[in-house]
This record gives sequence, structure tokens and C-alpha cells, in this order.
Amino acid sequence: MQSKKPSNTVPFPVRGPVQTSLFQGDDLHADTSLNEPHKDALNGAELFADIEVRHSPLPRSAASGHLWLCLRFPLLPLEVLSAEAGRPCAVIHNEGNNVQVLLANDAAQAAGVQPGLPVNAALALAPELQLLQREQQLENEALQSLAAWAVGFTPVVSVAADDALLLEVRGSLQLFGGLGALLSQLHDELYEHEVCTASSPVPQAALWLAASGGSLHLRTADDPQLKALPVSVLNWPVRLHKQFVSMGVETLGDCLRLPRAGFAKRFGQKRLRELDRGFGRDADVRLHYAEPPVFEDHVDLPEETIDYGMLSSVIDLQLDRLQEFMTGRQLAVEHLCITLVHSRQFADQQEPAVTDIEIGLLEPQHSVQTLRKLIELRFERVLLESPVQSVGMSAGAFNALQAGTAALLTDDLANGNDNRAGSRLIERLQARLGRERVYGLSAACDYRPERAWRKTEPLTASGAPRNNLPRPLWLLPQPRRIHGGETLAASGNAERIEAGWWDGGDVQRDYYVVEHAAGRRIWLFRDRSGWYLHGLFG
Amino acid sequence: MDADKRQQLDKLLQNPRIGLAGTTRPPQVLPTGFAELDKLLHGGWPAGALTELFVDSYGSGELSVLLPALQQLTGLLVWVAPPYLPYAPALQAAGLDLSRLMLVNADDDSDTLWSLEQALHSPACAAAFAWVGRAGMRNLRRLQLAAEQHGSWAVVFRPRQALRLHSVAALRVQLQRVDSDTAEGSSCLQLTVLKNRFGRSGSVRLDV
Repeated sequence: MQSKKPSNTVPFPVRGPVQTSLFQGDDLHADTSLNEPHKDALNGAELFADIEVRHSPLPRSAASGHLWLCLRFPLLPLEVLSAEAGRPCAVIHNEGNNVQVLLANDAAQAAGVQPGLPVNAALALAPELQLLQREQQLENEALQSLAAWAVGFTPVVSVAADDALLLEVRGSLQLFGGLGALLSQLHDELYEHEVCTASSPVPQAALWLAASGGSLHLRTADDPQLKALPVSVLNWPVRLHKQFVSMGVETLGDCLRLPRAGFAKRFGQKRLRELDRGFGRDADVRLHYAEPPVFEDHVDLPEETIDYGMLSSVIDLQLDRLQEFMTGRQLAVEHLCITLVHSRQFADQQEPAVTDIEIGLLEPQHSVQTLRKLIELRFERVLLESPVQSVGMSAGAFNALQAGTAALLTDDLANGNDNRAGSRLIERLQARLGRERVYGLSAACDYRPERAWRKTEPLTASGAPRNNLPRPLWLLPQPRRIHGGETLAASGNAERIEAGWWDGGDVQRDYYVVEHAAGRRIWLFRDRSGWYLHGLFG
Repeated sequence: MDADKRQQLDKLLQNPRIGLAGTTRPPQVLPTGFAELDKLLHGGWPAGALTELFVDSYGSGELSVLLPALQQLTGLLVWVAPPYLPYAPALQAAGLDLSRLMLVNADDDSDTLWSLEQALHSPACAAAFAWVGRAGMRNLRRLQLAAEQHGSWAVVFRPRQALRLHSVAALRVQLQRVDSDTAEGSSCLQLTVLKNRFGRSGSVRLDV
């Protein structure tokens, strides 16, 4: 007897509620029975009452009552670069091998420049377009300072993406009088930046809502409005987006109807988990923003003193406290500032005089021994004019401590040690003589001899292409006028240098290499105004 | 020779003002790039010791004499208180790696000597040059000890007038410009080795 198996398997993803849904048929539409609006609610915004926990697996974040507000700054790359208002300008970045427009301001968009356009096309559309290279470092710094500002609204702030902040505001709603009031205050204070806001019990969903551009504020984890969002809010790579388009998947709800195993195979487990998190199925834990640590210490001296011995014992004490601070948090310090407050000299002096001593290190240091020595060296140069009554020490720039690893091969160890020894030497010299007296050289591309070199930070140099013309080993800082140049340069070939008409430093000189009477080879030139000595060979 | 004559000789030699030439070998020699000079110095410039170079005036050829030896070194080069601006394109053309060069401007001689000593004490430094006017014997001895301790090549450029003063440097050389006997009208550099702990004294002419 033949048993005919009914072919029930559906080879293609089908719309409509079928067994093969992403969440395997569980009824996720939890009945969030909201109580009556609380009497204390102002401005009509309802606070979220406790949600009844049912037997079915509910999203944990909704059960715990969080509310995540997402602040997205879509024009952040443009805002951190100072662009002229009124002129059309666009921020460009490298996408693969091409240079494309990332963002355009209103004036540029009016001319037709859109994100994703190649640079040449953009320039063809708007010839006077100002192009700015994207600076991600500035964007990160701006986002960090915005996170520091957002801490004023709630202690739980998280930096979510390149351009978004997540704030957990459930606990602040009562203080600010509801979500509406909180949002209006946020908008008031954020007048410099263009911001999109959205909120949801789940942080990932709040990010998606803000990416869609609208100001949607949802109360439950899987609101139908969430499912209606287009797949572009996921911000996944273009290749995956094209796959979506070819599959006919347009909204997040369509994504949910795809079979889980197939989705994971095509797009990856990571992306599947992202969807789970967004719909509250999986825990979404965010790294909280923590303000950078700052060390400040202030000691009032028992009696005012001008003697370095007393000051050094106080400074040693403060350095010990700094060491404890750094050890407890596993930090390394890069920059220290010692403030000496002098006592008032005259009766009518309002503000006491203050001396600031700054110590900078080339590498972050964990141990304060180096700092002690550098402070000693610096104090040899400092002249205290009036007695000091209090000493303050502050350090703001800390880095996480890098645990050094011993190298397997001694070569690496030697190189590392040499680099550190070199930095230490530079620090010592700069501490005593001053920062600008220790420098390195590098050659620059310019025909004018006095501009063909540059002072750089010590031990960092970049080369410039060499030419084969004779150049003296020593250059005089300023060309020195001499007499009798004609007789000296009677023989010999001249090298004519005419350059600099493009930036105002016009020179027209004939250079000669001449043997001086004392036997030295010197480099002379003749200008319109006379003969000058510019350099010495050897 | 009798025993007490030998004793007298030993006691005489113990006097620090008298040095026996050619008895010790420098820990490392750097070939100078000039064959005659190498022969005179028994190999080259002594690394791990202090060299004093006396010149009539700064900038008259002392650097070009030392440049060929610098190319073989790996490690930091520190120049303290150069008399004029070292010109980067010319140094690059001479084969010097500018990323290893560090320049220090010091106001007075005490700062110069202190900086030179710091540079010699640093294990990263391979060679340190300084242009010094006045240097006491104590300072020079400290520089010599620092150079010996770390094996770096220390060179101090001094004006000719400092020749008369006593010094503990291992090598003392005087540079002068004289008329060349080979080419008419041009000059060459004459190097006179006055004191050489690692070899003998003499003089040599170089076309530089």
C-alpha cells in the first residue's frame, strides 16, 4: 500500500502567519494591561505602570520597566567640521576604492548633491561645493562630550553607534515630569546639533526607531509600528541590503517571517541575534558611559614658605596619593599640573598670584618615580617670587594601564627598551631646558633653502625627495650681509633660485660656492640688494 | 734594568697626568671613511671614549670629517648646542637618517655639558656631539666615564684656545685648514692627532 505523504512543506517564504515564523509560533503579543494614568502624571504623558508578567516568555527588559531613549545625531560629521554657513558643502569619505559624499548640507542638497554620490558627480552638480574630509576622531570626541552632558539627565548613558546615544530614562521621568517635558528640555539644550529622538523599552529597537527618522515612542517591545519599519534602519552592509531587496523583504516584519535557520545561514548568527535583541527576545546589555577619572588634590601649607624643601615634601605626599589613585583604577598618567598659590602680598590684592607648573610625559607612566625626578628638574628652574601658601596637584589625562609582556625573543625587548629609553631622554632634556629646545629635523619640499627644512618633534622625521645640488651642512639662521662678494665669486658657477612668488616670499638669488681665505667653503648668494652669506660647508 | 729603577718608572706612570700611548684598545672602533686616518687611529674613531676636536672656528669642516662614521651607527644621534642650523637636505644627501637625529639647543656651557652627559647615560644613544667653549676637567672626566660605561661615542668640539688646557679625553685631534699641495688654489683639512690613548700621534691630510 502506498502511503501518500501530503506535501506540506512550503519551499518559499509565505506571507501571513504560518508555523514557520521566526519565533516559532509563540504568542508574543503580551497583554500589557496599563493601569489608569497615575495621578501625578503632568503634561498628559502616561508613566508606564508595572506590566503583568504572564506565563509565556516575556521580553525581560519590558518586564523590568526600562525605557530607553535614543538620541541620534544624523548631521554629526558635518557639525564637527567648521563649515561656512550658506555655502553648499559636503562631507566626503572613502567607501571601498571610491570617494563618495557622506553628508551634504541644505544648500548642497538643494543643488542635487545626495549621500552616496561620487565626488566628481557632486562637483558637476554644484561646482562651488566645499568638500570636507570626514574626521572620525572629532566625531568621537563630540559624542563623548555629548555623553558627558547627557549624564545630567540620567546616570545610565551609553554610546551606541557612531552617531547615537542611548539614555535609560525610566527613573528620570518623575523628576522631569514625563517624557514630553524631558524631550522638550533635551531639544532646548541641544540647539547646536540636529537630533532625532525615539524611545522604546528595548535599546536596540530605540536605535532602529531613531534611524527611521521619526520621533516614535513605543511602549511595548513588539509594537506593530516596529514591524513596519523598513530594513534600511538596520544599517547593515550594502551587500546584505541588496539580498533583502532581491528576496522581496522590505520591512522588519517581513524579516520576522523568514525561517530562522535559513536566515542565520544567509546573514549570520550575529545578525539574527541582533534582530532577537531588537524585538526583546534576547537580553540587550549596553556598556555604560563612565566619566573619565580626574585626580585633584589640594594641600594648604601650615605656614607659608618659599623654601623648596618644604614644598617638595608636600609634593611627595601628593604624588603618593596620585600613585594610590592610579593603582586603584589601573591607570597611567600622561600630564600633570602643579599649582602653587602664593600668599597675598598687598592688602588690596584681590586674587592671590598663582604659578602653574605643567609636566608632560611622552608616554603614559604608572609609577610616579619618573614624575618625581622631572618635578625636581623643573623646580631647579622655577623662581618663586613670593611665599607659597598652598599647593594643588591635578591630573586629567589618564590612560588605561598597559600590562607589559616580556618578549619571547630578546630582539623585541631590546627595541622596546631603546624606544622607551629614547623617550625618557627626551623627557629629561625637555624638563630642564624647555620643550622647544629639543627638536628633530626633517627636509621639506621647497626651492627656497631657508624653507627646505623644518623643525619637528624629536625622533620623528619624514623624508623629502633629495636633489643632487650642493648644499651646505650649516645654514645661518639669517643671511648675513657681506662686502666684497664680487671678488670672491668671480669664478665659479651660479645656481639661480627664483621661487616663492605664490605665497609672498619671493626670492631671486644667485648662489655661489666659494672658498674663503681661511680655507672654509661658504655659500654666498647675490640678491637684488647685495651679497649675503647663507651657509657653511663642513 | 734594576728593580728600583723599574719601581721609579711605575710610580711615574701612576701619575694620572701621564698616559701610555697604545697600551689599551678601545672597546669598539668606527671606521672613519678615510683610509689614512684609519691607519693613524688603528681602525677608526674610538667608541666608548671621549674624543676632543679642536677647530679654529666652528663650522670649518669638523662635521664632514665625522659624517662617514655616523652612517654605520644604529641608535640615537644627539647633537648639543650646534653653532649654526644643521641643514636637513644636506644631511640627508650625506646619508644621515634624520629620524635618528635629535638636536638640543643649550644656552650656556653648563647646560651643554649636562645635556651631553644625559645623552651619554641613555642606552638608546649611540653617539653624542657637543660644541663646548669652556669645560672643566671634572666635567670632561665625567663625560669620559659616561662614554666608557655605555659604549657610546662622545665627541666634544672646542675652540683652538682650549688646546693648552689639560684634558682626560682619550683622543685629542686638531683640525686646521691648510693649502693643498696637490690641487692649486684649494685647501684641505689637516688632522693632527695630539694625544691618542689607543694608538700613536701623527698628522694626516684629507681632502674634504
